[in-house]
Amino acid sequence: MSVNGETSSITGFDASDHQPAFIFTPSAIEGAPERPAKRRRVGRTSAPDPTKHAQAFRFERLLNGLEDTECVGLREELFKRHWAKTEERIQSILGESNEDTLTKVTSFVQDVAPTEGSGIVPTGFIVTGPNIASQGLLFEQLSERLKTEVNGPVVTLRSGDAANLKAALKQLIRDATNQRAVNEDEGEGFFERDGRKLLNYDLEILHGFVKLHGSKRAIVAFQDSEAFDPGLLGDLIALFSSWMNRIPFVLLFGIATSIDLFRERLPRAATKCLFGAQFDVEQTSSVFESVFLKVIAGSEAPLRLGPALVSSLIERQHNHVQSIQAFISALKYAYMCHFYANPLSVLSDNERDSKSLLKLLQSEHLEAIRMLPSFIKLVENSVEKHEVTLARGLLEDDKVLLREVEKALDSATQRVITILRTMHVLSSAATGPVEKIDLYVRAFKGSLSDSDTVRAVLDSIKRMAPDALIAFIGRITKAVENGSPELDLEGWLGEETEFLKEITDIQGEVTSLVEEAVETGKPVRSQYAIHSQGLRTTVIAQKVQLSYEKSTLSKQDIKYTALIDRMSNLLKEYFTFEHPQDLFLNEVWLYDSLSPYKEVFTPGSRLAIEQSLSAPYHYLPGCKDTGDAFSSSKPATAILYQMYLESGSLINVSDIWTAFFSIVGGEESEGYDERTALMLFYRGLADLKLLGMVKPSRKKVDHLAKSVWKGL
Amino acid sequence: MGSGRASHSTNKGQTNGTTPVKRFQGKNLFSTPVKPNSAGDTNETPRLERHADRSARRKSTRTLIERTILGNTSDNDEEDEDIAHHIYDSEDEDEPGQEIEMNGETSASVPATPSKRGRPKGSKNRQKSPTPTRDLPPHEVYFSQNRGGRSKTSDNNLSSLALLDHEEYFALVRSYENPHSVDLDSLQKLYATFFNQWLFELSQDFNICVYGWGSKRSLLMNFAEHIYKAQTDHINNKIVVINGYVQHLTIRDILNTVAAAVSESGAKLGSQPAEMLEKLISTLEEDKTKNVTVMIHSIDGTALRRPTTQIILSRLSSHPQIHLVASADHPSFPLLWDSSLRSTFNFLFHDCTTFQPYTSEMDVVEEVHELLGRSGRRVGGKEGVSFVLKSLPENAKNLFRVLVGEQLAAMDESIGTGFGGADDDDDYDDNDRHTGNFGKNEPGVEYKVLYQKACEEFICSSEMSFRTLLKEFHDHQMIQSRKDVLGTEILSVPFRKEELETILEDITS
Repeated sequence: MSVNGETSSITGFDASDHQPAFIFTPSAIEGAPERPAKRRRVGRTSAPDPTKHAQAFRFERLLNGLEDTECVGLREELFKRHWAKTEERIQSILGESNEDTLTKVTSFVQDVAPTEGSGIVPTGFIVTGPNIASQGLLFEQLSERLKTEVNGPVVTLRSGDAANLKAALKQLIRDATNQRAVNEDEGEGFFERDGRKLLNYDLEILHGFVKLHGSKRAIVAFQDSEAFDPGLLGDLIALFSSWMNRIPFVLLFGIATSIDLFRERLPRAATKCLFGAQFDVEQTSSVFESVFLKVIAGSEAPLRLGPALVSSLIERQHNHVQSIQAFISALKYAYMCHFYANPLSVLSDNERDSKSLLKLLQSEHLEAIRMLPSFIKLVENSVEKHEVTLARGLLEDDKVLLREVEKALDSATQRVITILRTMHVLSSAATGPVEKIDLYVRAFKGSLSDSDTVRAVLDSIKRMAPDALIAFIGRITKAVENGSPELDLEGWLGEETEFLKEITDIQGEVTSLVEEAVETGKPVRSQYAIHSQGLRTTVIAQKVQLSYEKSTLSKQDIKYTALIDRMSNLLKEYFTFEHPQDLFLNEVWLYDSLSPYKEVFTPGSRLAIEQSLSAPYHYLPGCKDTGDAFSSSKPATAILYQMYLESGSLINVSDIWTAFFSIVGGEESEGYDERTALMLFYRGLADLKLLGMVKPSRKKVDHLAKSVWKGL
Repeated sequence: MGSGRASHSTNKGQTNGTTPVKRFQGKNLFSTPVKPNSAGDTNETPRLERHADRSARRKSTRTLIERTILGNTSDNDEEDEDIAHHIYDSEDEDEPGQEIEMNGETSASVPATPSKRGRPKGSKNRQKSPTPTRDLPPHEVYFSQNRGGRSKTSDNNLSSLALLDHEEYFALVRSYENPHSVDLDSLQKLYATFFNQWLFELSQDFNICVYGWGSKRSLLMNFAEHIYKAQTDHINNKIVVINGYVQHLTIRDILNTVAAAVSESGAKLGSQPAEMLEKLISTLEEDKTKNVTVMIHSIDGTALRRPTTQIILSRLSSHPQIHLVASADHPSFPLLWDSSLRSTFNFLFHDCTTFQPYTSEMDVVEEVHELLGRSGRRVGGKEGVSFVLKSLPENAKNLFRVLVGEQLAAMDESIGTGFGGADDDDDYDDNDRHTGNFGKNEPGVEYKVLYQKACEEFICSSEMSFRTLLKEFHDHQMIQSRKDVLGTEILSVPFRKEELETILEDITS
């Protein structure tokens, strides 16, 4: 095997290198590859252990390999536990989101009555929206559901399976008949009729099958309808329609665009044969938001994503992938990175109390903690507060540090919950609809108090009439009382004392003011409200008008204005909290590393290749960055690539070879002789061809055409 | 280094003649900066160039006069003529204070250019812009390299160079010692430290795709070894290696091998890939303990590029008991997959730039010769052809003579028409880099036509015997057959015109 690198694979021409496909047997471990037949017998005796594959690898020991095995195991266990819980939550949301559609479609399939003899095929149009990646899940769930609830075969066709009518029918019949044949042995019966064998794309087979099982429906679902050739669909529909008197077909179309567009593509004759209903699937964006709120923002999320990562995820979600699956993968990868690479992630175990967690910590852990940015912040803060002994203790004394760690761990959940509660109060206080994901990003950036939403809320208060203010306060208390199920927040009426007392206080006073006002018959307005009214009515000389208005403020008005000011300040204060990324040990529960995500999900393949060819010294320390683009120390292909970059759209092979040889060979003693240089030249040229950069040109003899420009 | 520069500056030299058009403003030719890093030796060269210009100018004046007198304006000569005009014009611009508009007029007022009146003179000249300096933004580079007019390359060709054949190539490769081998090894070792992480990712139902410059074959084989060592149970955990770069690989091979790894009894899967996949998956599901790691070298290889193949692969890889590790070489490989495929593949991408040579992935000599239009070398060049012909009966020789003759005739025709604009559709079709686009405008002879000719010349009497003769040529790879757009079979001999001519001489002599 050519595993030993370049030299061996060149000298020893290995057959396996050019074999299309084979089963790997390492040469180094067992001398000769074992016969598979022998293994089989052995295989039966040893009891298969399903967990074995999962245990095949362990997490790496971090902290320069000094990490305790217990901690390593704990990290692994934590990852599994946390992710399993999160995944379960996601799946339940996804299941629920499709639940509605599933029920509707199932009842449609059950209830629809085909009109006898008309040849009209009942059809369900499922409008899934542009997210083709999640269609798969929906149709899987759908066929599961239909199989259990409807008596009859269910077949899902994808555009890839059905290149032409024959292939589509074959696939349809095979899928339909396989579903039952497993447990009933009369499966073969419907392949023959009158002693002759039927072709495997003859719908007669399906007819026989349907008759045999007494099926009520034969459901054919087209997962990605738009991708099918419209002509093919037309033929299929016509065919189904002509068989309607024998086979009770029901069709389902997954539609990504709209029914109108879909109908336009179909032949008129085919559309005439269809009748049915439209089903809308919950749009990805709303599913996405509920998943996000539950598993990233939700109070029970074991790991939170930081604002930078979230914004980049959201951006990709909106602009590129539009798929909830991709988002889940990214989330999972974040979990994986966190627990795989962060030794401090052991501290996020919520099943142990902080005391027992602290016992796990080794001195290396403490060193690692001292490297954290949040630790630095903590020390800086304590120095600013002139608590020099504390700062010194943190730096030097492990006991002080441990005490601080314990404190931070104990308070962490509470602090996060406070942030979430604030978010919830804000979103229920806001008058218009709120981008909750955006709110989350802002909250975790620590810039919630400057956000537009907060400003809008504060502005709206100032202009509120007393009744509106009372309702507003009522909304807030209600939010506090009920909590938020989408964030897994329970009501916290009992805990919130200060803030709630203040606002109910204000509410009470406003109510009494209103009562007074009703008695006197004079409406209560705040200074700000009058102000704005004054502005609106005045055409000339605003100043005069304003002072005039002010002087006519009644006592109630002044009182009310004061109340509003109080409310406004109160809310302002309430919406201001410490930057979560300044909290000590936030690294344990907040993951905000952007680069692994970017590298792993959005490969810059072309960039990587261009970079490696134009600056090989980044990878190979042996060839120094001399600043000379044509340094002979570069690999041959890199030199050739440089020349390629500088040449025009047509390349003369002869000239480029001369140039190449003058660099690689040349007068210097280390240069190669002409034949070796030619070999390298060949290699480089073939490499460029492999990368799709050159192709033969017929404009001139021995010329190549250039097809790729760097950086474009 | 010296001669490398020289050949560069010969290229530049030509364009230098045109430079003044843009920077005439009273400045002289000498201040034209050629290239920042060759600035050191510019003190001397320009003067030489100028002398060269002088004599060239004299010559070009003669050409111009000749041209107009003879009225000979064939397409082929246009390029030289252009150069001639440039060299001529550059004289005018050398004189300080001359206006650019004047420039057009002066040359137009040269008495001997009446036939040129039809075409506005300046238009052609203006297109030529100075040689680009370094550090231009990418789009500027693109436009400067693709500007209109004929691109200026020398007429040098490789006829004087003895090309490599396989034997010599491999001998050279064997004796060659890579100066970077230490660095290459350390790169490999660096990537090997990620193996454990990759295992973790595989175990979490992700699939892995490595990309970057250099062959990743040995790296992945090391990874396979690593996986093998990590697995304790080798009966239920199998690793299947697939060489995606092998030309004749089919999706059936892949599915069959995976199936063999799963059941060993050689279960029959059927013939349709979709059907095979379903059977395979149902076999997998019977025994949940089985795990197969599928390792695909060059998942973007030509054999696997068809969308249907990728769909099957993605569905295979999405099964929880299948773990896919793939490598991709082409810079734009992500274009293989749309968002739906991408999400079924569930790939994690890792940049693994190894700088390893692609030794087993491609046949270097073959690829280069194909690039140079010398794929006929596989029979051992024209000598090989005449050797083969010697051992064949007279009929076969005659047939080959007819074929070569016809092809030469076709080539003459295509050159006659081809130079205008037809060749500009050198389509940017990276996908069928294989033989496809090369063959597209290669002249050949229609199967039927050749058969008719052969009958006329009494070379063969039936199509049967004609086929037998052709088969002999096919076996020696002396001819190629392809289908053109209309589906007619075209036969051709894979040699260049000059070589064909000598072959024809050989046969007839």
